[in-house]
Amino acid sequence: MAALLYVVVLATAVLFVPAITAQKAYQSAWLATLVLPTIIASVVLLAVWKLGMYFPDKTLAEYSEVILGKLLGKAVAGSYALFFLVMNILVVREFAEFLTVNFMPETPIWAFCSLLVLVAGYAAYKGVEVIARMAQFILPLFLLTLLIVVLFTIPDMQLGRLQPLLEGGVLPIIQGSFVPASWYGEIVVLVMLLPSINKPQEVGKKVLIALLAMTITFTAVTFTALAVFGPYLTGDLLFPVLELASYVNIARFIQRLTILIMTFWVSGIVVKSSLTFYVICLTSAQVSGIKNYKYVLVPSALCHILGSAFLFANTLQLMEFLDKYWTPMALVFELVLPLLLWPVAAIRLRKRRTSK
Amino acid sequence: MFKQVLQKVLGASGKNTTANSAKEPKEQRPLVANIAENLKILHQVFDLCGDVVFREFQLNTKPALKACVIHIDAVADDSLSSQHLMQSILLDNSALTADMQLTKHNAPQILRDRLITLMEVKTSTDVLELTTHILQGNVALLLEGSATALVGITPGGQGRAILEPVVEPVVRGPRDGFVESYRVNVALVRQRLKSSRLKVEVLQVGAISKTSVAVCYLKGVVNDGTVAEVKERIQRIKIDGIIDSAVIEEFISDEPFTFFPLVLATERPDKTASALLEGRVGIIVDTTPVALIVPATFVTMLQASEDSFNLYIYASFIRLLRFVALNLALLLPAIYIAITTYHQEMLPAALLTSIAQARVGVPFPAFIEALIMELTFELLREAGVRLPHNVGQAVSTVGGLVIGQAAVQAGIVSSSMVIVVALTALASFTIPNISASYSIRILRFALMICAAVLGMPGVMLGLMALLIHLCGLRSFGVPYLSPFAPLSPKDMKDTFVRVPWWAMFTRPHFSGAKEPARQDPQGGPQKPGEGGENSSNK
Amino acid sequence: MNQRLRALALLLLIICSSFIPGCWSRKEIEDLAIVTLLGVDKVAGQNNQGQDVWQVSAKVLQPQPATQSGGGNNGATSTGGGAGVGQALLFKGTGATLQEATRDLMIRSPRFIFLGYVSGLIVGEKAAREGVAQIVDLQARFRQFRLRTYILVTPGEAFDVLQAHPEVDDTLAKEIQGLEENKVDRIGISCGIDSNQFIQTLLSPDRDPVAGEIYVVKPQEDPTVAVDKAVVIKGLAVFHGDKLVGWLNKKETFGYIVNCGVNSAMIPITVIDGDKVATYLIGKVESKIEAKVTGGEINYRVKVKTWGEVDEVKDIQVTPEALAKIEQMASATVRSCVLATIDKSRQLNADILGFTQQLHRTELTTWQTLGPTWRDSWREADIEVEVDARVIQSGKTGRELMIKK
Repeated sequence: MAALLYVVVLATAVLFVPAITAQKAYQSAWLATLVLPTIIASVVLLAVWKLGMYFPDKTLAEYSEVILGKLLGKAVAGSYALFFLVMNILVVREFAEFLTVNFMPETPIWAFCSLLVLVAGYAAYKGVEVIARMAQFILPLFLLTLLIVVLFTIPDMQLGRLQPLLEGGVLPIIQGSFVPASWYGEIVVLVMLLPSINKPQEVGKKVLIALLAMTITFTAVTFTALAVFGPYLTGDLLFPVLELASYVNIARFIQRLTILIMTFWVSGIVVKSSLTFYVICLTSAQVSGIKNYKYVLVPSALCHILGSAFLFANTLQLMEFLDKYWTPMALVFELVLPLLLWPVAAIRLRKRRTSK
Repeated sequence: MFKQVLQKVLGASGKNTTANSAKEPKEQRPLVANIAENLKILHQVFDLCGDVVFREFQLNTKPALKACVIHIDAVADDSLSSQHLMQSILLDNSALTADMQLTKHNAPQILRDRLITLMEVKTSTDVLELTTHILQGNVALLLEGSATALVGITPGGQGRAILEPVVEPVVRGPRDGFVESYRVNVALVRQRLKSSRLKVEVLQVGAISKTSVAVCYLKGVVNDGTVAEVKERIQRIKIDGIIDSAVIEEFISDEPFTFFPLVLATERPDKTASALLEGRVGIIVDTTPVALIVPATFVTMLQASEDSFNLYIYASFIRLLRFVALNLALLLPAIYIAITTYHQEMLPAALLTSIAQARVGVPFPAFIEALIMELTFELLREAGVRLPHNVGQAVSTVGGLVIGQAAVQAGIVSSSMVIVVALTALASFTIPNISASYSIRILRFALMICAAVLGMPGVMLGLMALLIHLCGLRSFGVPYLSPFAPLSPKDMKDTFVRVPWWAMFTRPHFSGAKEPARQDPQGGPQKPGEGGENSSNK
Repeated sequence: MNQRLRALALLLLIICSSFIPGCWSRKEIEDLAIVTLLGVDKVAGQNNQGQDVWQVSAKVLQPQPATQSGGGNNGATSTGGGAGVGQALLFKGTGATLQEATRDLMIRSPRFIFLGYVSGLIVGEKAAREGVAQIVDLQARFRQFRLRTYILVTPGEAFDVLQAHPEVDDTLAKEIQGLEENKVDRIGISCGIDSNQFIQTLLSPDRDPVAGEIYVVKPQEDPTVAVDKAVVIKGLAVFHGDKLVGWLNKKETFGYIVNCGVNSAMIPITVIDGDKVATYLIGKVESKIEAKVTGGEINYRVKVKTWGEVDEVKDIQVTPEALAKIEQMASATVRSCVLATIDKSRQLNADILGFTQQLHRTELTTWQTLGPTWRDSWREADIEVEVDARVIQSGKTGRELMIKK
């Protein structure tokens, strides 16, 4: 489970977020990914976990009805389904965008989108257990790739590029923190997964470990990008980590490692998209009262393909959406809603207990 | 889902079972006390069976007792039956004392208790049972006035000597391989595991072939659920005949449609024995020199039995090499196609020049070139396998010349492609499990198509689809990719590396963890100086 | 079940069939014109407006079929003259924008231009003086470029440089790459600046970039060698913002390299004291800039440490005292070089050594008060240079070789 969430969060974060964070926090970007997002994500985790413990065998779509009543509960659960849908559309689009911008500009976006959705749909059809196993399988690959990129760029690092720390005070760092926070907050998918976990009691601890691991990895990557490309170029590049890989040059032969980044990115994003896809189907099936989530697969796949292929006209629109609109929206669903549901659930449950 | 489609297409439906056998006696019918009557029935049963021998004779009693021995020529062991049955009945009855004369009534009893020197003698009162015995190569003895027939267990059958395994040879390690007789095979395993806990349950499968299938496992080590599942699945097989264990393999697979072998097949008794020790179940099928081992995981496909016998450091190195080879065999042509046609910027500069030089003048796109070469290679392989050994070598020489030199010189393929294909071929030969290497070869073509259509992203998407498929696979309840997914570091002792034997403390956890410890953790090797009683040497 | 299956099959069919016209980005490797060196110039345009246009020239790798034994009697493909393996072709094109010029340059070739292997980007002096922002932006933006492309500036036209021929390696690109990657800074004549470093410095608010200087010479040594144009990388080009403002000569270049620090170098410093001559061979340089603000006054201090050996002496007995003397004099020489560089950069108003960068990093509050006039305050600031040259080896022989008079 920890592996799954780790891969899910990092798969897209590693490529997009260093640039977005560096645009705001410059050379302190690595601090921006380190402190605040982790705290926010821990709060998310706490709320999600507490909620899960109140209703150990229910998903959010089910217990929100218990907490908020039928109508409001369905509305909240439905909006979560939509939120996950938007998230996955973004993921699919990011995937296609990354490939077309960097590797295959002539290939139409919809081709990548539909293929990814097809593969992810297959995984979602197989169920969450298979997705979790996939994540476990590619996790070492994932780590190895990042490790290689970080290690091989050490000769090109200059720590001076990280100075001065905290230029412009703490504000830029806080501003830069929200984007990574919204990414870390994607662990909110747990609300739909907790009942299918073997030992839900241990989840809190395990996910916390995953969270810390993500923070460390992510900070290390951001740090590397900053130390090699400096704060300004990092902010200007769309995919600093990819550039890092292509910048590697050891003994004139170990070079052009972009292929590594691409493989790990594709594998990570398939896992991420699969899980989100599964969660979307599960949520929408439970909201609409359909017994088997597999019936929702095909319609939501179509939504994905259409949404991801035609919602944005170009890369910059996507980046702007990610930067300006997605972050607040994500934080509402990841942080605010669970934090609202938690006390309400606590009060409701206490009332019920006392009335009994 | 697909199975139903397939059934529809192939026109099979549950109503008319193909496995009907009208000629054989179906219902049980008791023997009667009249030998002539019994013989008549048996003659009817074995009508037109030229190899069934009815030997009628008389016991030298007074009055002479009519008797008949029935067996199948060359299926029953001739020397056994003549020495220990006929001889003892017809010649050695002088040993009987005066007060124990053979009569109609006590003949079966006395023959069995005092005369017949065979190791195992059974009785039978039923025609069906008797028929089965005869068909299995036993000798039936019918006696005048007795409704009980004696059955001498004399299975012989024809078989070959125990030879070195052909498919899985080793440099160091035992050199005996399974033969066609399951009794010999079980014995080979038993010799390695001399314990009463090694259970051998024999089932009969096949309406006509009546093949014996021995399910072997170590009681207390194995997961009982797995054994029950294996037996249930084997008993569920309703087919006319089992010609080879491969038939059983396809029947008991968890997933009917997969590229990967979900059952490990081996012709090595030592491999079978060590699998049993790990808590797996062995299935030994009569008339097949290949035993099946379940549950199988993906890793087992990459383990050669020699790994267990070589120095563990070397074995680990080879194991790692094999993992690399697996990836090469699966991916190398696909990556080559993807990089040379889509991602030229990913080649190191030095390589680019040489590949570009090699490609000058080649008339085909890289994909077609790769396809031609791979197909040629597969053709050569097939030709080499089909032909007798000495001719096969000639084929490989010709093939090597054609692929390696003539094609390059004629400018039809590039030399870099030849290297790629050769490497791929070499890599695919290092995979110890034949069925796994077949599946890798098929998948290679699929990935090549992915690479040709979408480059590296295509390859990766294909690989991910493959991974999803693999993650969904189970072999008798054990996830196929364990111990990687689900991750179980404890079970990694025999995967990427092989840890030394003295460090293989526990069995894989799928054995049910009933008896997880394999050895005394204190029992590792000790240097002479440190060999104290309570040394904490691990 | 059946209906779902049919729907699934239909979906699969649609998706698969949509890929039949696919293979969008497919390009066989032999269809590519692999550019190894790119030259960018501004030249007078032929159009009637009389505006300057971009001129892009490119060295294109021309893969030759690998020579086969037997002379290719059955190879119907061996076309082309007796060119060596990996001969490079030269193309030139002009246009109003860089990309237009790039299209123009390959107009006669059936192959597609591929910029993934450009190892050096050579900018002509005129283009560099007008500003390299457009070039750099394209370089960072266009996906085929890599950030490890070396940036070089040539006095004159870049096209002339590309006309040169390799002397040692089989292609000019390899030769330039090799020089830049591991030679020029170690012998102290130039510095390999790749586009990552260049763009970074260009983007940073507190430092001005330099780039290597490349020019064409005619090799004189061996008249039998047919090469009439070869390249030399020597010196540095100084930018003010994105505009070329001047060049560093040999001494100033050395000062710049000293300031950057260099490892496993072989830089000779001549020490002359009357008749006595010695060579101090620098092996390693470490340098540090310190920025200090005392009462609104900005002070900079450059601390340089060099480690080196003395192998060549004339009329000197190699004693510890003599070595100390050499150390002292070498320090003075190095110091004068660094000072020369500082003077030149002040003269050109380009903070190439990164003094202000250091100020930014360590004295944040002072930096924040500076604003856009930071170059002025740097020009007026006090700069001290301390050089500590050390001799750590004096070769294989002892004090001196006793050679009879």
